[in-house]
Amino acid sequence: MTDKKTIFQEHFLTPVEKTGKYTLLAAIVCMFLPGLFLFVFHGLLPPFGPLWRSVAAVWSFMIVMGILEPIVYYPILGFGGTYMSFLVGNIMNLRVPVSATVQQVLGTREGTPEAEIVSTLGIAGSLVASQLVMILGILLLLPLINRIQGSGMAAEVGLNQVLPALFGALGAVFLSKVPKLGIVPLGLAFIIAFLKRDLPYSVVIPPMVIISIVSARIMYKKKWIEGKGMI
Amino acid sequence: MDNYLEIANSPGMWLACSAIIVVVLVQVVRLTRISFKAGREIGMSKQDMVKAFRIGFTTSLVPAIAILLGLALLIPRLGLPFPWMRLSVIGSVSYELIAAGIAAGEFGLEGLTTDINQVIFTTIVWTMSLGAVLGLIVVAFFTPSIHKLKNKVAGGDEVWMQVMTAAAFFGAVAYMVAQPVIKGGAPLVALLGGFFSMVLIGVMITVGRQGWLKEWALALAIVLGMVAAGVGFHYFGIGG
Repeated sequence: MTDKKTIFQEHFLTPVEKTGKYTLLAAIVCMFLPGLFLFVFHGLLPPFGPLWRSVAAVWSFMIVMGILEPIVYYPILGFGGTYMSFLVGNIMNLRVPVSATVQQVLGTREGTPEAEIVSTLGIAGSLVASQLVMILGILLLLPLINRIQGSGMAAEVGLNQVLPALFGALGAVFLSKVPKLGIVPLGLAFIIAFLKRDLPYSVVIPPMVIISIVSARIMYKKKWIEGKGMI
Repeated sequence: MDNYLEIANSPGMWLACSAIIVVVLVQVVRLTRISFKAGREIGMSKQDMVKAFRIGFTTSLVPAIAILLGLALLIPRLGLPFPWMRLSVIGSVSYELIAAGIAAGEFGLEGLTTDINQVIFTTIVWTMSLGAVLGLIVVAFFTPSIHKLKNKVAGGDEVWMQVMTAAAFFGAVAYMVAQPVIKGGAPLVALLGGFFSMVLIGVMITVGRQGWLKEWALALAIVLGMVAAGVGFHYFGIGG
């Protein structure tokens, strides 16, 4: 048994860690290439004020999710699966169910070396499929794009409203899945929006995130919410 | 509005956005090889391992097409290459839209409208990139010590961690949910359209047992919300 453990450590965990770390670091660098391209070839830079304010607003919730999500999903995704999934995204809607399915079909026990390998391979297959579909899809969408854009005023009005449409859909998810968790942030947000409807997001979002977490903590402590199947 | 979409769709932008896809491919090839080799050494059969890869591949094809629908939502305002990169790597439709909306809001825009220009587009690009970097850093450096991290954060209480993640997300979007309701007009029509479409799709999934709709629900509800706004304008002259 110890032999198997050593093999697994030396021939799986160690090389996966090395590959995972270096590819993620390379990805972080590559992520800024579009921004750098805009600067180097077109002299475009974001104005400092609006940029840091929007980034602060985004980070105020991403810091919580960025730390907690890998911890929460790790037991299912496994070691190699975690590196891959967080690089390609669509974690809870795609990679987690895929990993769970693959482990179930092959009948491996969670946490064993076999489950680790099976999960890594399943997510690898998933990743290849989604990249393939994205590339083929782009080729199909390419000729259609100009037609969508030049298709008149009603289409423009619809396109302008992509965000409210998203928030309507998310609102429905709120209310059906975790209504109690939504009471405080939504109630407060309606009051604030009623008083002032165009506050900068950088002013509203960070305190709202904190208030929402604190109220959730109180409800959780009092056992008003259970929290299973939440995300 | 200036010619920002020309830049957003230029060959240079395509090139800048493609580099990260190469990194993804290198990663997946290397990890697959490592898994096959290690699996054989600990006595797993090759058939089982091929099967794992194949199941992962086939079960992901249809959900990936759903992601494509999300991609189509971002393209009209942000061009093709950048949203393609964002949704191929790291992103999810909701995160990208929210981050882009926050950046546009800093310039006084009400959402992702036709008023986007070069400077706003550049700010959106940087906000989306910087915003997602935290999660990648955490995974790059802390995956090997994730058990230690778990006990340090939130006292190792996994259920609370799930509640907290959901609470953070709700806190982030609550004001943006409330805004269209107060504003009225086309934003309200879109919000209601998105809301009721989602409710309807939810009923179809649970009561009608149409499980396959799950992956499509969000993107579909967004599209229907946008259609509602377009219809509301065309036939009733709401907003615009």
